[in-house]
Amino acid sequence: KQQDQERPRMESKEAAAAAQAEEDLLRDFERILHDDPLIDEVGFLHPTQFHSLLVDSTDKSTSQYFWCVDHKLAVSSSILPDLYRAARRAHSNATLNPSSSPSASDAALIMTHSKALLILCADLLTAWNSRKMVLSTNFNLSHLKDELRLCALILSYSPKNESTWSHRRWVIKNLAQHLQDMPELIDKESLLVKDMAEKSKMNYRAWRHRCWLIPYMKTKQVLDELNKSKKWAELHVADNCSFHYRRSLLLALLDGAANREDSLICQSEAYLMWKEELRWNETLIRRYQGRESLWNHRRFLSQWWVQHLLSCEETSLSNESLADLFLSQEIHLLSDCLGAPGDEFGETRVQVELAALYILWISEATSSFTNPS
Amino acid sequence: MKITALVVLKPSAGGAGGSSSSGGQGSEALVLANATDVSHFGFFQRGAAREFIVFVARTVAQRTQPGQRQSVQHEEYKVHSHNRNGLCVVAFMDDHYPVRSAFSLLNKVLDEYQKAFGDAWKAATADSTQEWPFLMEALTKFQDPAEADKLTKIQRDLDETKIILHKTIENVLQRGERLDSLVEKSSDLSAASQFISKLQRALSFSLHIV
Repeated sequence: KQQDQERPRMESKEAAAAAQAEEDLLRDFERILHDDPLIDEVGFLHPTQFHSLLVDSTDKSTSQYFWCVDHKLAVSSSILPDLYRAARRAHSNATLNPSSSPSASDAALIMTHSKALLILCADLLTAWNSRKMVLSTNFNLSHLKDELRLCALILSYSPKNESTWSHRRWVIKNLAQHLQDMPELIDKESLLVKDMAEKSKMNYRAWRHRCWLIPYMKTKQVLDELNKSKKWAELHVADNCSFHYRRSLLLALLDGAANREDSLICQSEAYLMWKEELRWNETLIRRYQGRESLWNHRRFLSQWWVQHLLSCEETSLSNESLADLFLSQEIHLLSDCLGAPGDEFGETRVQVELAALYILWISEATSSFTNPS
Repeated sequence: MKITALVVLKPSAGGAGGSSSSGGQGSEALVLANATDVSHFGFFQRGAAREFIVFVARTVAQRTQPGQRQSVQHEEYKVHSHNRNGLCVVAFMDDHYPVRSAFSLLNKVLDEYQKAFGDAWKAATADSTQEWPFLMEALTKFQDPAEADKLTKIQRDLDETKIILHKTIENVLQRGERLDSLVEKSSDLSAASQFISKLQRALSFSLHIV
């Protein structure tokens, strides 16, 4: 009977020891995060890889599970489950009695524990929301900038994480209400997306974030962005997202032409941009065979262009149809594609298919403009 | 378009297959010059990435015969290799870099290497640690394939040369060779990198079953 009584006591002692070990891990983790607020990259390494990091390191750090040098943090994946459990527990305890105006010490605890938790698992919306609650109590510029840094840190290893991008937008909306120099902030965001896109291809969420910034831009910045993002798009012709971004910028120009005080400037800029974009797109189509994103972009450009030319003709005195002229140039492009010599990579064949589809599409689109039924 | 690496190598005369880079029967190609840009990898993956690049470059170069041009699809890279009279250049480019432009660049690298170092490479018996600034500059300059296209004076020459395509790196290997054993024997890959390689292959194997 005594043995029966002892067993649960032994088990609860073991459980208590395990919980203590987990809390120690969390404390170490949070201390490292606190000591270096400029950490910009985290890696979760398999113990084999982590071990070689420790061996190579000149600075014999005291922890056997964490390594932090030059703002780069490595965590051994062997302790992740324990660390996560501890962070989850700590965060739950801190948010037991949610308040719209927590005390300073409560707020600090929430922020510390949620930060640790989110770095381990960025999808926990509860954790993100607890941060929003604390940040909403009053406007604090440096705290909001810290928030941007935390998002950038998580994105460094989880570049497609929607919860993080979403939280980042919440922060920017807050900043927009109080900041004067939005253009600078937008510039930095655009640059961040560009760097992310370089490291993770076809990152729809990053590019969508960049598109989300467009309504905050004035005409001048829209034009700047078109110019600045051109080279990148040229060097990443398979990445449809960057062309989608350009389309959004061009549409913003058109919107400006319709709705804003500087509408005349917008309109003439839009016309010039469009013409240049068509020319540039053709150069790329000829250089990179069989790239669907280039042809998609051309459809978008041609559609508006043809409509624009047709509406010009209504007021024009000349007999020559500019729209017809444009279309015959497009057919010329098609025949060049058809005539290109075959290659063993099959790219010419794809190019021919895409060109043919494009011509079919545009002739249908044009006839629907001229004969709306 | 990304050029991740340009490597100049001297394939060993003894034929393919082997472990060390210090010559002898069944050895692998020697590295004469290496320019690598792994900045787009996460900080903690860069070391392993560099190691893999050297390993793949050696493996492909050793299996590119004199006069041969070949392109291998390896994950999201195309690895292009050209062996001209025993001197081999291997380039790691992303999937969308036009293949013909890639080989124009390889030609240029070979020309420049011979201009800079003459025939000294023929006597090489070990990896060279000599710096060659041109190679690193080329990585940046020729990111835009349009620059590489300017190099080809006579397009017809390049159009007529045959380029062998391989869908996987296993297809480059000789009969009886297995990538796993090459990985294990390679002195280029640290224990950690070998482990990662095994893990990757185990994962892709299980994906194929599904």
